[in-house]
Amino acid sequence: MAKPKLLVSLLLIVITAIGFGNAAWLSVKAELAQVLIKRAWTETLQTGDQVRPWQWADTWPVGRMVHPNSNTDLYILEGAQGNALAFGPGRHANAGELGSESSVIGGHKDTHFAFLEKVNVGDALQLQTLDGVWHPYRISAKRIVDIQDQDLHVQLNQKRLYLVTCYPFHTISQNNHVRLVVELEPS
Amino acid sequence: MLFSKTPKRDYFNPPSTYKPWFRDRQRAAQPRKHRLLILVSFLCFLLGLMISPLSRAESGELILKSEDGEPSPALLHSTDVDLKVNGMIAHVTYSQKFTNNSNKWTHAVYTFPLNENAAINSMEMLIGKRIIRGKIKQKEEAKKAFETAKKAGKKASLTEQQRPNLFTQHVANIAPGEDITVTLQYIQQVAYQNGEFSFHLPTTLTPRYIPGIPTKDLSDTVLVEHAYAGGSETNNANEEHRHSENKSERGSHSRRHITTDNTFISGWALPTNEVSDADKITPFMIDTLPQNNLTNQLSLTATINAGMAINSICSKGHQVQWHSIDDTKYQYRVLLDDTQITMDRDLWLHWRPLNTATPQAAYFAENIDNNHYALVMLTPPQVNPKDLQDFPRDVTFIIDTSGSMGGRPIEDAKAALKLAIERLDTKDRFNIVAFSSNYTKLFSQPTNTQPHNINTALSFISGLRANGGTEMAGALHEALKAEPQENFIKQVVFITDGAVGNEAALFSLIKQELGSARLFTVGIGSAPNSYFMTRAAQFGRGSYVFIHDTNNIQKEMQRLFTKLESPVLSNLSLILPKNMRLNKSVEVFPKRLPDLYAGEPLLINIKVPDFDSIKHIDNVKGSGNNLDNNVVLAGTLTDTNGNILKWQRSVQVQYLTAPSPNNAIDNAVNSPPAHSTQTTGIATAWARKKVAALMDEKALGRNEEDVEKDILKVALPHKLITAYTSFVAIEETKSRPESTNASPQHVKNLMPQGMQMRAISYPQTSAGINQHLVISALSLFLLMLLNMGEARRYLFAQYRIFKEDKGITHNG
Repeated sequence: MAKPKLLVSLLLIVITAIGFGNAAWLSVKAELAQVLIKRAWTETLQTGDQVRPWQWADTWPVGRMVHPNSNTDLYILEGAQGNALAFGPGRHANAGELGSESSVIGGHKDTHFAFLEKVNVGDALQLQTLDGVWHPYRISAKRIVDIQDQDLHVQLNQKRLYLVTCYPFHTISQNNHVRLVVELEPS
Repeated sequence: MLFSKTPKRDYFNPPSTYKPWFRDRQRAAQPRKHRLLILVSFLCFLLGLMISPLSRAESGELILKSEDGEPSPALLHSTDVDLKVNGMIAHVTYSQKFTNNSNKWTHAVYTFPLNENAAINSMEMLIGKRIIRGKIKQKEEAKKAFETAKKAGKKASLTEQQRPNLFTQHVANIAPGEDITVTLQYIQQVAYQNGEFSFHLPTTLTPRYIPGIPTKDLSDTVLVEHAYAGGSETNNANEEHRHSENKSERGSHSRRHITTDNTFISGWALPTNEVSDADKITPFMIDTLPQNNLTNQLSLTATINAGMAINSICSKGHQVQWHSIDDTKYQYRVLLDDTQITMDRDLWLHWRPLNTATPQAAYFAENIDNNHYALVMLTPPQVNPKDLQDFPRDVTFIIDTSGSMGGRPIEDAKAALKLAIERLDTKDRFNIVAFSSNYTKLFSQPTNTQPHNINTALSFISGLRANGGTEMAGALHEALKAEPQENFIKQVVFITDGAVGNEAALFSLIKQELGSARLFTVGIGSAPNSYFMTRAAQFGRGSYVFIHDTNNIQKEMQRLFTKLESPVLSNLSLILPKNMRLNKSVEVFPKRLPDLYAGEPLLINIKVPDFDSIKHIDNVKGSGNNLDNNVVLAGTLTDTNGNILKWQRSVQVQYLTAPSPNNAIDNAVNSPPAHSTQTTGIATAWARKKVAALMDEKALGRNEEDVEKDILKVALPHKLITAYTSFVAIEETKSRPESTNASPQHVKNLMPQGMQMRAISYPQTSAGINQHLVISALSLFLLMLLNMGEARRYLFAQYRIFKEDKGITHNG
């Protein structure tokens, strides 16, 4: 009887380890990568080229975002897919260019975009684009949407910024179909 | 024998009540472990189930809907249009088929466009082979009946008007896998200009800009599905509440009304203080993607009986074939090359009679219940603009550079504007106002057309980018307020897609500030708001053209130039026959004759009640008196020498006393009477014109309650859908079992072709850290549970060590 018990125990130990490990890894990855991304962004601003933060990265920084009220300073990566979002908020490739067109930025609710929980309508936010120019934005609306039946509609040429993250912030399930959309207008 | 052996342990009555905490465990050890092991294995299994989705969607993966083979939409929609044109009246049978493609009961909501003159007078719901006829009711009453039926699980449908060119179709309780077809019948007056007839069928809409401050603030709202849904009743309350609130207080929402009833909500915009029904006129949109060809498809069959030989039939955005129908005179069938077309742009059919048959005047009539209805068309004389006196013009061009113009529309608008600038005469003066959220003027004052000014204007136009909102009021006000110099004719040319939600307010502004100016609209895009275009031109006493395609900019602008450059046919007067003049209750629309521009006919809708009494008078006076049996349009023209020339056109009234099948349209001016047959739809067309006239009065400030009363008086007998009346059809029997629920599904409209708007799928934005944490915590708990004995012993040992340590420290 000892053996099955041992097996199950071992299994549980492994799961516990993996679970905590993953959670820790995700948080550490999200934080650590910032250092490398910051370096890449500095180089991008100097040279104007796409600089990959590390050699095998499939994304690169395309902007920087500062929300003074919550002391948030984030580098925006190209692409709003999993590989990019793990390291930082990502610009949706299907939407417009940052700064000049309407763009959509996605971010994880539990790492980089956790600050969106506390932003208010009217808050200022600065966005730096590849050319080094800072664009001032102001939060014009916060919306909570159900994504099951709809997409986000953007007018490419309106120079809006949409920050998208999962909602509500403190839940367990991952395949959530509710999103918080923070809409910003140039100010 | 069964119980020869006593059970090893009596679970309910343990033999010993004394249980030492950490010793004596051998007795109960074995069976307990069994149970625990089973329990833990089961929980592990559950844990495994929980983890499994994680392995599928690796943390933070974005699932792009379009890439991952998006399952087809839960609700499919297709439209079938059967068009029958008879003279100037188009009878349209418009069938919308809703297919529930899911395995759940569904309510469909579809906000769809029609031409602004469409007069819907019948609605039927087709469920399998059962037909349920719709009844016309007051809007609120219809809504209530529909809601009750929907809750009760009965199939029902409701058609409502949101704008004269925007309607909402609701269908309740569509069973899984079922089709329900809603068939609308409507009458639409065919347009006639420059010797060409045209029929317009919008299939989608340009998303409208909603000006104003939202009267509902939803930030930080805990989500109920489509939380921004709200009944119109709460809007007003909210508005007041909002007004009293400071802007800085927007974060606090102690008294927010959010209705849980999300049935009548179909839009992406929130009601604002300027557009209180914003959510109803902003249906969800999707891009035209290849996988969307299952839904939003339209098929069309058309029969045109123009009453004369036709030279050509064409459509600008679509490929059509046409041929005359055998064994008939002047009847033609039109077919689209594709059996199904994608509903992403307006459909236009144009037909042109043979040159010899170009109609000059026509009288169509219908007698219903002792009332005589007529539609009269009179064409003013064709004149060569060069023979007439012309005045220098002062033209202000307004160009819409809002976000909705992005993409091809803004390029078309710029091309059209450049054409117009280059075309200006040396005597003329001009200015340009470009607007989006704000407006900019090119020159502070209208300027002459020196080459350097023209060049400045052309480079200004080249630099225009579509971006921002559609705040029309400021730009219109700016353009209209500038006083023209003496002897200059002031004209305003407004180039826009008309995608705004506050039409009525703008009409009122145009009417108030117009003065001596004339407003012309140029509609841009695949699906412009034609209601705004035509009505703004009507209030602005000007005219309109539509540019729906890059290829016809030249042609359509040419048409506009002709109108701008030829003098207006003003001082028009309409003389009705004596017996109509005497009858005080004859109603004629439009009440005030509009100015006529080159190539435009005058169309008048007349109702003569108590028609029998008129006939009586007619008979007494003698039937030979033909001279006073004509509708006469008279006016004046000024030639280059300043001489005033009088002209007139007339058509004989036909009371349909002796119907004889004949040509409906007279070919020659003042020709002998041609007996027209009864033309169905003339009465409906008249009623629609009356409703439009009443709505115009409302836009200009007449009390809404009075307008509503007057509209109900016309709409209910004529069975017309209006802003205050809706069609509702309800099945008698209940079909949805009470145990099941139905969810609302929106039919999305396609983004108009050429528009620069994108539908972005939402990214997956959770790293799943919480999930990992929960899983590990859970498995840790299970581990502890499984190894309870060991854990206890271990903990106890630790505790003892700790205690001893404590004792030592105390002692020491």
